[in-house]
Amino acid sequence: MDSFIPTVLIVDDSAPLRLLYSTYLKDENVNVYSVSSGRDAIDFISSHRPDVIFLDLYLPDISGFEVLNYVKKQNLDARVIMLTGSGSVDDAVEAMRLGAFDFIVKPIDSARLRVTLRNTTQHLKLKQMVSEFQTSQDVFLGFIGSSPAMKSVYSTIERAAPSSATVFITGESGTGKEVCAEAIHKLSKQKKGSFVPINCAAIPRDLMESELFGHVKGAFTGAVSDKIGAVQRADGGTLFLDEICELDPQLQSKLLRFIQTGKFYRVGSSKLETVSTRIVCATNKDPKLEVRAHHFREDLYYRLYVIPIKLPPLRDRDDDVERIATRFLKNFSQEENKGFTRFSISARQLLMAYDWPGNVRELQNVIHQIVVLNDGDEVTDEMFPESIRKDVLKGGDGSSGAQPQRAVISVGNPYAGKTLAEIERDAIEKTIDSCEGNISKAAKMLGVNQSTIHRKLRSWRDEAQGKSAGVAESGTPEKNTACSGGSPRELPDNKIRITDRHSRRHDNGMVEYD
Amino acid sequence: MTELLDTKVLTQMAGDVGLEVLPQLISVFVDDSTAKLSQFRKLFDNGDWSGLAMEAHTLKSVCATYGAMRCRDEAIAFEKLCKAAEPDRAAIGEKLDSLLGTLRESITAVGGFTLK
Ligand SMILES: Nc1ncnc2c1ncn2[C@@H]1O[C@H](COP(=O)(O)OP(=O)(O)O)[C@@H](O)[C@H]1O
Ligand SMILES: [Mg+2]
Repeated sequence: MDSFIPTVLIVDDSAPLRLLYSTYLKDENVNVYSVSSGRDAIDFISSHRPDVIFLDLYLPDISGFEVLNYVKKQNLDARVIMLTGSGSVDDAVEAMRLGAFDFIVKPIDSARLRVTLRNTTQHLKLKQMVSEFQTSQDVFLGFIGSSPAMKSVYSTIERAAPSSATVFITGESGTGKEVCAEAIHKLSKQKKGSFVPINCAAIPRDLMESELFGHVKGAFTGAVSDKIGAVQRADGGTLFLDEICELDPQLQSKLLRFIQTGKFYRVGSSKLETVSTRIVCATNKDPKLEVRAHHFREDLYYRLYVIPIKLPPLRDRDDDVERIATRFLKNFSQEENKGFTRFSISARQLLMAYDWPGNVRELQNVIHQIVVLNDGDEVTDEMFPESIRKDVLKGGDGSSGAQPQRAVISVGNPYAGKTLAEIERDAIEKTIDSCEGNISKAAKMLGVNQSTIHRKLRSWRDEAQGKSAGVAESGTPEKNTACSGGSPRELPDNKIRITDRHSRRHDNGMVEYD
Repeated sequence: MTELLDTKVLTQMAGDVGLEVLPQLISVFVDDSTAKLSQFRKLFDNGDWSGLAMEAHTLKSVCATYGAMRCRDEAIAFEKLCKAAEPDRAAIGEKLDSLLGTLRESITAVGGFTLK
């Protein structure tokens, strides 16, 4: 806390007084600057963000009230102390009403000026301490954020961690599922053991079993020695199965057996081995839909889905965006030896307005990029990647349907036998899938607005329910919903329509509502 | 009449800032006030009453701070005169002569101040 050296600005039109006041403060642990006019004061304030401002009320260009007003309007933390003549106590009172921190009546002696400064900086230090304390409260085992949505996640984690029940984490990509899994581990009984993450999507199918359970020498070509698998490394600790829905169906049965018994065979071995490990798994898909689509074994699902934790997308976390961004900014600045400490107002607006489809991971990458590519102490909106600025400028509504479709559909003639409406629907649904259910990302990819996609999804849903008169006249609305017959489509985003209606999707592509 | 220079004020200042800094503070007062002499004249010639009031207001604080008490009192009265609803040029001119005379004396007095 002692490292905090406040910046002090003295605003007075008289040179002898400026010098005298500065001299009075020369032995204080502060950096003192002075200017002679209101406009210079505003310039200095906007560029240097002083902590304390001694402000003369009568200035040759604009009045001290205007400077005070500027400080208040910009929502700056600076403490303003008005300097007033003995005849203008009314003005001082008015200044206090406008938000001045204190006032001093001229002529000002050294003791008075220093005592006032000390009171003010003490107040500032206290405030900084409080805010630092609060930010430390913002942090929960690797998570930054204190939005209501995240606080409820924290309390679920706290309640779930001590039990040995399996935790199933869902959430869009980049929302912190792995952070969550580690937090559970750190709070659990088995925290002394290892936290072993394994990504079911990243490991080739035929290596996955050996990754999970290990193998013995000669089990397959390339198995030149014995190897222990993830479950064994996680013995006494936590096994984190990321992207669980991508696990091969055969392995799903083996995993189920392991979870039920704690026993397993290494590949190529007939010796049954036993470990004790806590299982935490995660997916960015909707596991229920994966079950319905027969991608994910229902019995395994029920075995794993004991304590569900849903991580909210970043855009639903209020001003956590700013909190996380500020923390990242400070960390990356330190790492990259840069001087960034804050975001400008316009940059803050940008942070809040953007949708962050890639969530915290995207935010992290963007801030890192900004810090690497720029210099200064304040991040401005111009430093953000073009794509983000454009996206925010475009806003939520104004239609941009004229933009070219960017969804790529290839392989032979995939359009054969389909109406234009069916092709459109197919393209939209495939794009949503490829964006892992993230509508705003899909909309961007397709060059249309999010609202357009939502409207279409709604109309298809109504159609499937036979609500839409316009479609009903074709006689068999359900058939219209089947796009390619055969392979089932996953419905990506539970926000859209399905889960809250207890629907079931059959292999023929038809949707059924309970 | 108030005394021209309250030496207690400058003695206190010397104690506050230290003897080595005092001459510098005094010389800035002398330079700045000397520049004000012609500044006041110019504003008067232009009939800029609010500008004069502003300068008098500042002068009042500066003089009070440096112990030039008589000049401070005159500056207070002069500021009032300039702020009148219908400023009286002749009265202002008369007071200005006196104010600048006192300021000149104050400059000499402050400039010649040494600690006993
Ligand atoms: N709330 C948060 N506060 C700080 N960093 C976070 C937060 N959530 C995620 N991160 C960071 O964002 C990145 C992505 O998190 P991760 O857990 O891998 O997301 P997911 O597994 O959901 O894709 C990681 O670098 C992680 O440390
Ligand atoms: Mg992840």
